[in-house]
Amino acid sequence: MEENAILKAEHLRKTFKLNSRQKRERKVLTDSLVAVDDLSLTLKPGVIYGLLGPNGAGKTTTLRMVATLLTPDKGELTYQGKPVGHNLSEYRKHLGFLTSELKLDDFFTASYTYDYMSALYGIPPEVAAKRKEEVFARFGVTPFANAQIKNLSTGMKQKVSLAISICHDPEIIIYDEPTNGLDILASRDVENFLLDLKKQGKAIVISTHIFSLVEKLCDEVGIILEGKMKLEGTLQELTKEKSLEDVFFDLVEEKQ
Amino acid sequence: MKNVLTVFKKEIRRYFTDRRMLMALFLPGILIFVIYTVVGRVFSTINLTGSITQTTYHIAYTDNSGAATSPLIVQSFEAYLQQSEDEKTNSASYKAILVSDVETYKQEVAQGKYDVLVVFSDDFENKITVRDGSFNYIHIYYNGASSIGSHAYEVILSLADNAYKNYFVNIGSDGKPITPNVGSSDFLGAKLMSVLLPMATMSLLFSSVVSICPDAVAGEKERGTLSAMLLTPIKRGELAIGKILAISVVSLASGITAFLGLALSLPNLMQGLNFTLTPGMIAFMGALVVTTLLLFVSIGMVVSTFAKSVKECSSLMAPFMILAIGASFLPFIVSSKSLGLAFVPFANIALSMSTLLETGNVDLPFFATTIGVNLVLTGALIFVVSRLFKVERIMIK
Ligand SMILES: Nc1ncnc2c1ncn2[C@@H]1O[C@H](COP(=O)(O)OP(=O)(O)O)[C@@H](O)[C@H]1O
Ligand SMILES: [Mg+2]
Repeated sequence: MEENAILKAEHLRKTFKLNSRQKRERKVLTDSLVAVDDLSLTLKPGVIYGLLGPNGAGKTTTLRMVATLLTPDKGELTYQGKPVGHNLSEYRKHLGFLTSELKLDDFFTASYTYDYMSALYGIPPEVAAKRKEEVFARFGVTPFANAQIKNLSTGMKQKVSLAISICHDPEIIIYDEPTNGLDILASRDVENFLLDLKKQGKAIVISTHIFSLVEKLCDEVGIILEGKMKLEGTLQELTKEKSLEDVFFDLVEEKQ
Repeated sequence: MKNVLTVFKKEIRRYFTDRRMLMALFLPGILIFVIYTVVGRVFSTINLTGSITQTTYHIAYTDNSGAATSPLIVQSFEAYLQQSEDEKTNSASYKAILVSDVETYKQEVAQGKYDVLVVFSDDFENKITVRDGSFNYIHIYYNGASSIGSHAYEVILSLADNAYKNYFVNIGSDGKPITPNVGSSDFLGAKLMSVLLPMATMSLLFSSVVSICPDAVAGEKERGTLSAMLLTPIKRGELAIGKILAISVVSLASGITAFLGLALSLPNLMQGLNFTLTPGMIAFMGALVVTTLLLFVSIGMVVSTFAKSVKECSSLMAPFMILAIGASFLPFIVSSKSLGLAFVPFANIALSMSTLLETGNVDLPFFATTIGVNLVLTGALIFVVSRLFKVERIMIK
């Protein structure tokens, strides 16, 4: 099982410095906050990994470290058996990172945004154009590909977002709270998107606080509480005796 | 380099697809043109000696001992009035009187009752032929605050007989320089301009920067589009430089419009205020405007990179705007201009601009220092921006 790991994140730790306003808001006196502590996870091709935890557990921070948006204080990433180290550019070519927030510039068209992101990923224009046609058709973006983003509905924007996130055909997909704030139709689109990528053999990690989503999509689960990985295993293993919900609340009670 | 270009093109595209942004960029230039033209028109109609269409040149002259009835200078003025189509249609005429009390009539000129006072040195006409080595001269006093005054002055200078030309001097019999323009300078003219113009220019330039910079980085942070770019393989430095280049070009375009507005409306303004603008002055103003704009852009970029939202960025830029506009009042307060002041950002810009407009001359060391300070600061701030782009806490929401 370990052999086919495409990405290993080991002993990740992240502390945030708190400014005086943050200290007041949190009613703490310490200058820093340990958001993620000694956390490891492994991603494999064709496997969806679910990072499950309550708000503030450190899910987003973990995924951002895996996506190289944040630099860990400690720990390291190993991609295809090689440490990522400072060679971020090469590693980033194989990463797709998504969150529930839509990150599109209102003034451009879907088509232009796709071209722009492709260019930043260093994809030759001819290759990008061919893939754009394919991906846009798959997500049903083609009819409104040349409309300004600001004129699109939330559902349309969601589709554009998904299409653009895989413009560089990444090996690893990181999706923070995939269905957060989405209506049922858009949620279904996202779920199908992830299952489709799984079928293509992509390694996927999502974060969520929704048990049903994990049960529906994930092959492996990690439960994170207060920045620490509390329990990890395949969905089957974890839910052999009791439901995922019970497993989770037992862990929370154990802590208290 | 390819990535810088990709980012640059995208940013340029962004500015030119947003109508609100386009307005913000090019409105200042149009406003400058409209305001200055209107101000110029207003000033030119409230002329001291009355309306242009009924021009009477009031000329006072002292006795030049020898010329029979009216001195040659006044005769040549009469000839000019007869020849000039322009003056004919404006039904121009002149009244000349012979006076002896120079000081009294200098006052009259200053107050606008007379337009020109021509003073001949004692026994002038005779001394032209019989040279005895003493100082022989003609002084002309005029009221520069009135268009008629300066026009009359120029006409007399240009039409004077060659034999006379050599005697026009700006040195008094005591060897000290005299000031031909006795128009009260603190009235309308140059002094007002020298304060108004820098202020208007500074605030308009800054406002164009305030309207583009907040979106450039802070806005992208707020919308989350920045982190999408940070996740791509391109280097942070490339992203920063691409953005800075694009904003510089865009605000330069905006600055050039502002400057065109200025250049095109200045003659209108000057006509009302009696002020001559040379191509040299325009070139110096251009250099000042462009480097000032670059400085403002780099300040805006530092603030935009530092701020978390468009709103925060705009409010953080307010103090800089107040500083810049406040500095433009300095020419009111500072009368002596030491070279040290050329090293004070903002203040040096306002002082350079006002000196240029007030005197029509360029104080080259002061001016060069100002341009230098602008460029050095711009470079330093761009370096700061590219460093800030690597700071996680600043870049990630
Ligand atoms: N930039 C930051 N500065 C300070 N504290 C932060 C920052 N980002 C996250 N945190 C804190 O770190 C903890 C983990 O946050 P996060 O990873 O967002 O949790 P989750 O995604 O599981 O809700 C929380 O207490 C959060 O408030
Ligand atoms: Mg989160």
